[in-house]
Amino acid sequence: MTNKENYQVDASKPIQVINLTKRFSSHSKALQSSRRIQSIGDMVRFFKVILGPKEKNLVALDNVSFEVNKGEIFGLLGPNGAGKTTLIKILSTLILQDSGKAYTFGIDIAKYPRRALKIIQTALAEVTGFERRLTGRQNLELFAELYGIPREVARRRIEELLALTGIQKYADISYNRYSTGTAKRLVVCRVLLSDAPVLIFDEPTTGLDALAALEFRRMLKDVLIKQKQKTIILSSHNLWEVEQLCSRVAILNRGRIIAQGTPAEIRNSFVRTTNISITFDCQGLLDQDLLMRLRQMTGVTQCEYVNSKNGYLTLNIKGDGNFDYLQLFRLFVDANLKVRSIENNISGLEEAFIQLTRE
Amino acid sequence: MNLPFEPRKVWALTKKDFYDWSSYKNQMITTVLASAVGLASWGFNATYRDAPVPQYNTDFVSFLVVGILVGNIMMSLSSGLDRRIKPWTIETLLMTGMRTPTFVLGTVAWTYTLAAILFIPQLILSIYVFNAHFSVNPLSLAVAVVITSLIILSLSMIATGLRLVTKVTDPVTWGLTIAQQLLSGMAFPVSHLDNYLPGLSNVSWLLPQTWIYHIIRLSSLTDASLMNPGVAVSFLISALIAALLAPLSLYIFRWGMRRAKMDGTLGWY
Repeated sequence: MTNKENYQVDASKPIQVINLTKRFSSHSKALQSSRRIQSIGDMVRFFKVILGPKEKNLVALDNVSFEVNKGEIFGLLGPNGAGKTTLIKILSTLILQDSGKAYTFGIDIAKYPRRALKIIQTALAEVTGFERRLTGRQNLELFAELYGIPREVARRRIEELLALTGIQKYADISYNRYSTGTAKRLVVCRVLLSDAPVLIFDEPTTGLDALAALEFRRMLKDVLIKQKQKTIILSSHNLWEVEQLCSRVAILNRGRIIAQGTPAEIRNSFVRTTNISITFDCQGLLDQDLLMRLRQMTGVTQCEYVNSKNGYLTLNIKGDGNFDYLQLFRLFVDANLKVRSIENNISGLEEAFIQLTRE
Repeated sequence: MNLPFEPRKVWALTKKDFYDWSSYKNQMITTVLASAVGLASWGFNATYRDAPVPQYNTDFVSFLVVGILVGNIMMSLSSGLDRRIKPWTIETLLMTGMRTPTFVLGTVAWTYTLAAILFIPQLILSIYVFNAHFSVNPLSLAVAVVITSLIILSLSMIATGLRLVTKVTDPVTWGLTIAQQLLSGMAFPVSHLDNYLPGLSNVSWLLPQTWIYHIIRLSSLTDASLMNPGVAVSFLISALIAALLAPLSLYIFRWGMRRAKMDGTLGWY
């Protein structure tokens, strides 16, 4: 579950990160040396700072290890400053690590960046990389040339991608006029242009409205994974989104992976509370005896009546780590009640995330 | 009294701009120094005005016209770098996996082409309006242009590499621009500098730009043949400078790129 596992280079893995460590200097040399000079010692220290290497006191990544399997969406979660973007930039050859290795299909990313970039393409969170005064199509044509795609293939692929992302009608409009959603779709086109098998998306739905975000998620799962069989690393603050899309997740905090596994594994390992709403057939009033028996159940900390309408009755049940679903179902079976729905009121992953990053 | 503007807010905006300007330490120092150097170079130029230039067997106007034409190309390249390296596109461009020289050449190619295109109307203007006289040796000029291009591109690559680390102002571009204005003989013969500080012209000959001006002027003003031993030596030294600068520039660019990647500041400005 954590990053203590031993990894060996595996050429079949789209991404392998082994003991990656990165530290940054938190401020410039000028600031590091800006303490008032009052003695010879201060003067020596001043020149040591100015002439020497920068003091690296900000830990961005600390011994991070994980693997991404072919054809999966791997989620990267973490609070702001956890090291997600640094990790993504290392995988994208934009930052060099201090120690450790990152591989794509067995290729050392830092050592062979150009080979790695034929496999990995990234949509960064803060930059789209487009020339603002060119149209969407002109931007894509430029990138097609830079990727070295033959012109005829590029023309066909650009049309396909514009159709796939649904921005054909904006293709010949200046990029300056693009909405956030359209700009993000153009980024997807750019990322897919070189047909790289591994795609990285950093905060892809930030700034998108609910419908655009939904469409983006649908495209990720239905088109990129099912149709095009890509491998995806998805960094997001949206825990619900990650839980819905990702087959496996790593949670980063202060540069370290504090949990890793499927969303269910993480949820089950770290979530010690239950908060569910249960709706069942019930004509008339709530059986007080049932309510009492529910409240006396092992692990139940709270059981409240929510509402009753159209022959259905809803209860809200909160529990601790000892809460037993089987016991709950038995109780309903014994009472001869037909359960219509059970809803989790809090995302398990969200609760795990809060618990883990708070510690 | 009702003023049409709000003095406190104007002061606040001015203060904000001062803080911003002074936060770029290199830029602050170089701007102050550049204004002094600019004054000196115009001063040297003014005192030389209209004197003949026996070194190139020509008049001052023809000498100055060639200097300005070449200077325009060199200046546009160094200032072009400022505008072309955009922090919001550099990371995405590099993620396409292009080679280092491709990135630099691609960054400066349009600026260089535009400067070369603009060379033609400037040339026509200087001949027909200012009566500049040219005595061109085509072979020498072609060789001079090749050597000049190599030197300029190498200097651009060095400047780009350093700019990736220092961001807004890099000391090499600044130093070369200043040296060009003051020491390389763009607007007056370098020997004129000795009138102000004896031996200063020797420093000029250490600069690659001085050799660029020299070989271009030899080939365009004096019909200098490469068979002439004196001319050949000048071209040979210039070619040697180009040969030294080319690998050095590649090394410095790669160093700058690696350093920016280590610092995690590739996309910063």
